[in-house]
Amino acid sequence: MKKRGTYTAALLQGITTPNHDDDIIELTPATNTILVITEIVVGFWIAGNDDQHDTIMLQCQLVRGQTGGSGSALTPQPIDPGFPAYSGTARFNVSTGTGGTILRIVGFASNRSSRRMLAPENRLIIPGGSRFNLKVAELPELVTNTNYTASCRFQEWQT
Amino acid sequence: MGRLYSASFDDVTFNQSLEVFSIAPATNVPVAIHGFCFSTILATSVTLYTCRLSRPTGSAGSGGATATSIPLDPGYPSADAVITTNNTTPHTGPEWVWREMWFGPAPFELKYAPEDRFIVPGAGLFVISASAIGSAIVSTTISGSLYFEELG
Repeated sequence: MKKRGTYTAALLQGITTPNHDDDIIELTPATNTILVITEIVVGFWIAGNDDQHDTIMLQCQLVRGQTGGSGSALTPQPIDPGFPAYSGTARFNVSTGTGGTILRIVGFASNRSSRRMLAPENRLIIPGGSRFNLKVAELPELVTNTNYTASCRFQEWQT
Repeated sequence: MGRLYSASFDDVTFNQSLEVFSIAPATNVPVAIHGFCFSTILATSVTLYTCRLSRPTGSAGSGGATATSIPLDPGYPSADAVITTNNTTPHTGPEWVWREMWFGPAPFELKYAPEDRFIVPGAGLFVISASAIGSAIVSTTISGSLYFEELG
């Protein structure tokens, strides 16, 4: 395999409100490529909540192979402009999908960013024809207006 | 390995939004971003921010100050890149490559593994900015440091 490059997908600030079972970010590798997920950062806050001292928890699932719903396009950028453009597709705020395999469940606290840097042997592999979904699994019941920032770093390899 | 430099600023007024660092490499001297850190003197007041990284397609911001880049090895020549700190007027044509939240009363620091470093081509531009979220904005001051490598 040949590495094409390393890319980041950065979610626009606060414009998305995915709810239970929706995806914050979705990556779909092109045919004949694989993606290696190396880092995920998620931060969120409650819009209109004047008391931002309150901390709540969000649980997310890292899912492979889910069939996605509808979402908005996102353009990953190479960390080095010398890399070719990412050949797959990406979306954010994707409505509830179906199926897929949960690779990992991670918790994120509000009012700050929580980082998951994956050790080389624990990085998630997403083959061409599959998908990677950063999925909202559980939100506190009273939370109805959540805003996110999130970013994902990944490598693209030609198979 | 290229030549490593740091650039710092200290105790600058910070209200709503600043371009904390603006990195403008010289022609033919690309720069690798090794990491950066900044912090405020916020005490009990909690203000949330986003930290955003951009590789602009437009023009640079303005209103800031030029920082002195310090070679980590005194034997290095002066840096070719121009590092501007705390622009109050943002750049145009942002191309966001990273966004995350920053909890104001805590320091914010990112360091990159060698394979994860953002590369800024010669004559390019890279911007690290911070912006307050929501209505609970508190005036404070900010200090920070940038670590970068010149590859040319």
